[in-house]
Amino acid sequence: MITIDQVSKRRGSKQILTEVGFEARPGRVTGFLGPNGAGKSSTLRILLGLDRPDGGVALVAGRPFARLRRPLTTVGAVLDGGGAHRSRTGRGHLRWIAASNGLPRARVDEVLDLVGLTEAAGRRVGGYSLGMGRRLALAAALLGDPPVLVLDEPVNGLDPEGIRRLRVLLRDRAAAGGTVLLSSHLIGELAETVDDVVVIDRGRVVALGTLAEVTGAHRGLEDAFFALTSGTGPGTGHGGRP
Amino acid sequence: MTAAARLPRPGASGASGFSSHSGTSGPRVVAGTFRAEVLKLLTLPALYLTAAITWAVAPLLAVASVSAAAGEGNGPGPGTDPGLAPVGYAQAGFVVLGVLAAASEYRGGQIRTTLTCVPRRVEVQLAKAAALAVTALPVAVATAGSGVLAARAALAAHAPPYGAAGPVDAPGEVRAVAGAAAYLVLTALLSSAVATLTRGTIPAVTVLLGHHFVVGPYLAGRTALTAYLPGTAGLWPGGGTGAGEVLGAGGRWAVVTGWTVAALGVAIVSFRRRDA
Amino acid sequence: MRALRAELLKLSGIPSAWVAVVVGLVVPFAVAALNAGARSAGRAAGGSDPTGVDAGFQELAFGVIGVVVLGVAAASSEYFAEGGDSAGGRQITASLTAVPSRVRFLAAKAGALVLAAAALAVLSTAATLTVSRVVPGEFAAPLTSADAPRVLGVVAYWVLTALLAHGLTLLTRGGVVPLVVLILNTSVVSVTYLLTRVTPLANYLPDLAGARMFVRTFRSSVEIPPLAGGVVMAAWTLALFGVAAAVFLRRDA
Repeated sequence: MITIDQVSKRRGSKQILTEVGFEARPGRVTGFLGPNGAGKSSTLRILLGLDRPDGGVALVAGRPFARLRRPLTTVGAVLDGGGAHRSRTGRGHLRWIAASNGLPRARVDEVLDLVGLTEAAGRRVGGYSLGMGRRLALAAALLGDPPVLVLDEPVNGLDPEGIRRLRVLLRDRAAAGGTVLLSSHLIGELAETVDDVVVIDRGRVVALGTLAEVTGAHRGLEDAFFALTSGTGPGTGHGGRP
Repeated sequence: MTAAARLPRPGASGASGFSSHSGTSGPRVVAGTFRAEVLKLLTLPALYLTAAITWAVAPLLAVASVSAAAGEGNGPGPGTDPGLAPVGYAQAGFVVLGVLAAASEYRGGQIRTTLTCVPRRVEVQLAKAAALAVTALPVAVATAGSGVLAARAALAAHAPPYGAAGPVDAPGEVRAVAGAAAYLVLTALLSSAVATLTRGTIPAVTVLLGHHFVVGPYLAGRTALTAYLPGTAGLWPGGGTGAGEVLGAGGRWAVVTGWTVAALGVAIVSFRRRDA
Repeated sequence: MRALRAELLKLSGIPSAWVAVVVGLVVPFAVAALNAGARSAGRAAGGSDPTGVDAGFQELAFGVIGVVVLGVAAASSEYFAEGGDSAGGRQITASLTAVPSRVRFLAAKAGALVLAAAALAVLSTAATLTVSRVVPGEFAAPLTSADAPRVLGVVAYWVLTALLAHGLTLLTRGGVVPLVVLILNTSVVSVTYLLTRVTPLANYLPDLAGARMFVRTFRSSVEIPPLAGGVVMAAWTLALFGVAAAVFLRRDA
């Protein structure tokens, strides 16, 4: 369960987020949708305690992230940018992460196998392709077998096979009672995966609900998206806000 | 291979399929944080390289500087004091060690991974400092040991007063090595604090080496102020104002430790407040 | 010309380059002011230069770490990005796509660096020499037209050092090694000075030879005229930059 409540954030003189609020519920995959710079990453960074909000609260399992004793057993996160040092090996990267939360070392090999990186585990991260870097980040997120997953643009750089595997994995986690929140600007991909949708534009939530609710009378999620957001796409002009 | 073949089976590990977050006691959690920081340092190739080069090159330069001072016949001066020679150039290696240890967090966005593993920022920084101290210590002892031996050998090759080192004074040598090693570890800690503030290697290395090797030594002997700066400058006896005599040995230790603790404190406060 | 402007823009966007500017301006100025103060208070000015003929110039020899940082920052920023949100990291790929000819790319980079280093040197020399003459008042050795070549020497020394640092960074593809080597070597007792104790040939290393362009009092048995010193340093710089360029042109980005 993820609760974002009235979160606001300024950076310099720019208002990044204005009273953003939504929930991601257990057993469901929630898609967090918005154009570039709409505030998706900022919201997720606040949720994970990386950035400080100027107002509002973000809770995971009813608590602020910073209050979790061993966060990896509650939340797994894949953030933009890999999060690994170039000159460490993939296995070395996962080993310190496991150590930080007191997870057994055997978990490292399990998650490496899970994301298909076993063969590359001994190589330095600097030599990984973009997709391999994303898979390593996913492996790190799964280390603690957490009930909550937060993923920022997880399909960036993944090949079609990787995307399919990720989709199945996320559906599976939700089916087992997990909470999954993923941000994306790839609408088509998201429509295939999510149950609920939150649309953010210029730092404000402009729509939220189930996939069907948000799509509404539009032909698809993509049309709904362009109608809801700044409106640079083909859907401009028809349709309103729910 | 199908995708499903590799997916975790729901329910395989307990009713929910997810890890049960059974309560773990505080000390064990902190120990995990510390272990992770040690592992991070031990898996960075650049740190091994720095340690090896420091250990190999610093004693050579110590010998050269002692010989140069003795050969000139005008006595030990800034940078050539036989007592400080083992530390002199070695501190550059420990500056790099400290800076790389801290700045490596900011490569590839690793800091975000670190904070999603351990969101307690003060604990992260304290664990980092402890891990750096523990891993730098053996390198410091080895470097200081060979440095003291090398400087001694270089002195023995010259005529008195430089050659008059006298019989080997074991407790004295051990004290010298221990003192030099402790100073080097403090140097690494101070450097890591500066790099945490700058979040980049180049500004941190510039400020630290510029201070330790250029500005500090150049000011030593011109102003008594250097006695209150970190680095060895205030220890050098050369110069008209006798900066080295402003403070006793205990006072110097207090100054160096004070700067290190203060820098770590400032680094922790800023790390806590800034967005990662 | 367009490539040169792009490189100047890139350089001005690197935070470390601004650290370099501050170091290059403040270090020689502040140390010269302190020394000048000590001189006017009637104290010894520090053994090697009792007449004050090198006042200001000595400090400018140390201030060169400013352009060392500049040269390192200009090269290493191509290879890695640090800090919060590095979208991309290795800028070199983008750079070489924008200017596909690596020779032109290098030439533009060196050109931008030369301009920036020369500008910094001129500013810093003006400030440092002024403070070193004004503060001590009557004790100062006045600047004459005979000092003009020395001022040129300082600028040349700074520009050549920046290029040396840049070439070294292109070779090592990281900023730390060149910074350590070059800053340690700017120290009061430099590594190259220690080497002169072993062999007089060490006097012909770039930093020691180049400093002859403007420093008059030297603790050395070897005499090198200013112009010859400059030529020796320029030859070193050209050679190192040539090697770095050759390696850079052959290697995969």
